Amino acid sequence: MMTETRGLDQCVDRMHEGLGRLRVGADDTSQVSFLRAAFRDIMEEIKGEIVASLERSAPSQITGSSLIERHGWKDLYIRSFSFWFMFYVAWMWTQFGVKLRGRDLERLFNVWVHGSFGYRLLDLHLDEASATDQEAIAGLWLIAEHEKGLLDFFGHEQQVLQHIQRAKTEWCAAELQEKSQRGKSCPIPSENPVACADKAAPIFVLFALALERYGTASLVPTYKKLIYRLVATTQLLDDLSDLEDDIANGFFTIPCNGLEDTLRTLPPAQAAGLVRADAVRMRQLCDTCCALAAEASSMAEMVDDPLFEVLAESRIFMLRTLFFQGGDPCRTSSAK
Amino acid sequence: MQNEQREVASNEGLRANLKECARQLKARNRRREDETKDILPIVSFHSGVGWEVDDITGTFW
Repeated sequence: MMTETRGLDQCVDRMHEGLGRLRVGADDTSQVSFLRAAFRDIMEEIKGEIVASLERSAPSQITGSSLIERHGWKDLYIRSFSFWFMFYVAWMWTQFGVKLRGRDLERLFNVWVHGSFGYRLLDLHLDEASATDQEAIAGLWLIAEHEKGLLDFFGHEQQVLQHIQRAKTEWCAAELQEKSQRGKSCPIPSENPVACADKAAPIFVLFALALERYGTASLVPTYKKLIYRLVATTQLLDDLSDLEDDIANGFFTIPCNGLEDTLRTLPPAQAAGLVRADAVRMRQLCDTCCALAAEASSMAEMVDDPLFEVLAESRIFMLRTLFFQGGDPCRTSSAK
Repeated sequence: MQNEQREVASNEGLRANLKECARQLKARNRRREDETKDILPIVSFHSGVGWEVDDITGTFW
């Protein structure tokens, strides 16, 4: 147990050292490089801690099998999880002066792992024919453990319980909406793309509870808008990346809006290619993501939260790099 | 939560650096917005089977 705690402590120390190297310089892009390095350098170690946490969990112990052998998890999902956890730890430090260490750090880490993977396992069970009943049961156990961990960490007060229940209800409502529209149309209206972040409610609850405990509870609604906008930009990029799989499983996401009738007549790869080759559609998607991140940045500035402000501005920076790098740009005066 | 450590005073330098970093990035983003305002994007970063891990990570910062 001591080794696990030390490992996490060392990761946090290295992240703080990385953030400490951030200096105001002439080259604005180097700031992004410093920030990326502060987090990226410890991703592999965090991954090891996640694996260890899951292997210590009751479902793994009972079945003797790993919960994380699914294709893509180790390379992609765990990486994004690692980022958000370390960002949360950094945020607790920059915003509240709370330096999580030792046993508290380990407890909070397990809460994140259990919640993230519990909800992910349930989602997989609902979305994919290959998911097993065993994974669904493991998911339920992990969610229960996540909720118990939240109560133990943040306190058993009524408002803590209300935040947890609200998050679970929001996640369930988003899943129900998504499944009810399977094979029909995108469940997220184009005019409200932030709704695609509703499934992140169980992650947001950790920020909300930290605000309740260390900050200003009245800022919870503002932070919800801010964080959901940033999550929505990631979700929209994921949707663009996952078009083949989503279409194959009968799910139409925001990048598909308005094309559903055509797309369902095509093989998934061809359908995905049609969406991505639509330059005007891609321009709109990029603009939507940038607008969401810009709104998040303004909100972060309003609540005097420089870490979130930098994250939002970095997101805009990366969006424009992703959408406009490489190839000969197709110039047009009609692009808006 | 027991034994939590709070070191409020010593994060002010980092906060100041982050604020300046945000200001610089905002200016950079405004310039980039102008540069790309009449351009349609090409989704050339997609490999056809999923984004590269670094692209996904890169979207965070």
